[in-house]
Order: sequence, then C-alpha cells, then structure tokens
Amino acid sequence: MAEVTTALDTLIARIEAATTTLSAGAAADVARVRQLRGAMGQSFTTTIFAFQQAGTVRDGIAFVASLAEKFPHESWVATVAAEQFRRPVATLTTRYAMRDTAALHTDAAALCAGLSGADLLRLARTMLVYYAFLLRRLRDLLPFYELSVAFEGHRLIAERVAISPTGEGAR
Amino acid sequence: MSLRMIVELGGVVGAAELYPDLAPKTCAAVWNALPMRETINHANFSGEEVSFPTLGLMWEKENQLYQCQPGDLGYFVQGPAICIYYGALRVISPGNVFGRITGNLAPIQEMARRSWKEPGIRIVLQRGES
Repeated sequence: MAEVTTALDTLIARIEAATTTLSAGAAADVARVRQLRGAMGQSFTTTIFAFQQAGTVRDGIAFVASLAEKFPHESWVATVAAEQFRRPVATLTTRYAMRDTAALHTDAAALCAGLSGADLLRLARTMLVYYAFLLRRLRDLLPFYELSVAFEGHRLIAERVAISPTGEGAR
Repeated sequence: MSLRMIVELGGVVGAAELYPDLAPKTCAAVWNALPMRETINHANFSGEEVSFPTLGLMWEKENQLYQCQPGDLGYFVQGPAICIYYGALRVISPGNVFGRITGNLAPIQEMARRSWKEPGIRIVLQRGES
C-alpha cells in the first residue's frame, strides 16, 4: 500500500507541475493543438473540438470525484475511475496531439486499482484543477467575439436569402 | 467580522465585501489564497460574467445561488475558478457566492464587458482591511 501511495504522490506532483506549466502558458499540448490542421487546411474545427473534448473529459473526471466522495468505501469506484481515465487516451493522442495530457491519464488509470476512495478523490480533484487551466488555455486560442460576429452575420445572410446549407430553398 | 478585498481589473480598482457569515469556508479559502493575479475570460454561455481558474482552494458547496446580483463574487467548485457576476446573467452552474463588489462597481462592469472583445485583461485580488 505504501508503494501505491508513493506512486500516487509522484503522479500528483507531476500533474501539479503540468498545471503550473499550463498556468504559465507554456504547455506543449496547447502548442500542438495550435498547430493542428483539419479539413481544408484550417484550424478552427480542430481547435474548437479540442476545447470541447477537454470539457467532456473534465466532466468525466468530475463524475469520478463525485463517486469517490459519495461512495468512499466501494471498491467498484476504482474500476469506474480507471476506465474513465483510460477512455479518452486514444482520442487525446490521435485526434488532438495532446500527448502529455494523455500520459497523465494513462498513469492515473494504471494506478486506480490500488487506491482508496480518499486517494481517488485526491487524484480526481488534482486532475480537475489541471483541466481548469487546460480549458482556459485552449479557450484562449479561440476568438469567441470575432467568431460570434462572423456566425451571426453568416446566419443573417443565410436567413435573408433563404438558402439552406444544401442549397434547398434558394430563390 | 468584516473582510474586504481590493479588486483591480484592467487597472480599475474597486472594493469588495466578503460574506463570512454566508460562506465562511469559501471566504477563508479565498482570503488565505490572496493575493491572486491572473487574466480573465468572459463567459460564453451564462451572460455577463468573467472568471479565472484557480488552484483547488476548497471543494465544499456553500451559499450557491441561481439569482445573483451585479458585482457578486463566486467560487466555482468543480472548475475551480473565481467568477465575477457583473450584470445580467442566467446561472447554469451555481458557484459559492462569497462576496460582492460594492466600491467602484460601474467602471469594473465596463472593463468586464470589454473583455468579451478584448481578451487578456488582467485581474488582481488582494486583501483589504479585515
């Protein structure tokens, strides 16, 4: 058990160091998301989907924290937690090049089986703080004001000429 | 006990009163973490709200409100983040309301509103008198 606790302390220290890097605006994952290119060579869709994906993963970790808090003595919570941490690894890596974040998930998933409810809660909360800063940095890549102006303008034009995205209704 | 906090947003200085009677744990956690320096993000969904992420200062829900007044200060537990509810708002996920900006609110509201168009506005929170 002592070995597991030591491994948890080591992982938590890594997550906290990664959070500090995010806070300083120097995270490699965010830089890689910025370099991604999607369909037609643009980066808007890859960036906004990365932001959305990180929010979804964060919600899953919040779910783990909630389970660990409500059922601290139930061993199945560790099984759920491991799966929840493991599940986004492939997507984070292959779609969004967020390899450092994925590595934290992989190591968290591997550790869950030996953790108590209190330790799972500690791990999940440390990851929630990491995601608060990750989401903020990904959000910083997106000019929501300009996007909202462009979107409303596009919608207004589309409604005025009554052209659907498929061209139906054109007149 | 009265706790006051100085809020500086984009160079505009205001004063906030904390609510240790209504949100004692949140006030203590925030107070102990001061000073804080960050840049704010404007909310995308809920309305006239700005926020910045923090470390996990505390995790309990306390004095969570869906009806906020302009200037209310919230601590979002799940995020975690500190929020300024500066105007019209439809609260989706409530935060722990732990205080309110009571001094120089109007220019702070104006600066918060500007952040929707101009990201990167800096915020400093520090202790006032206690």
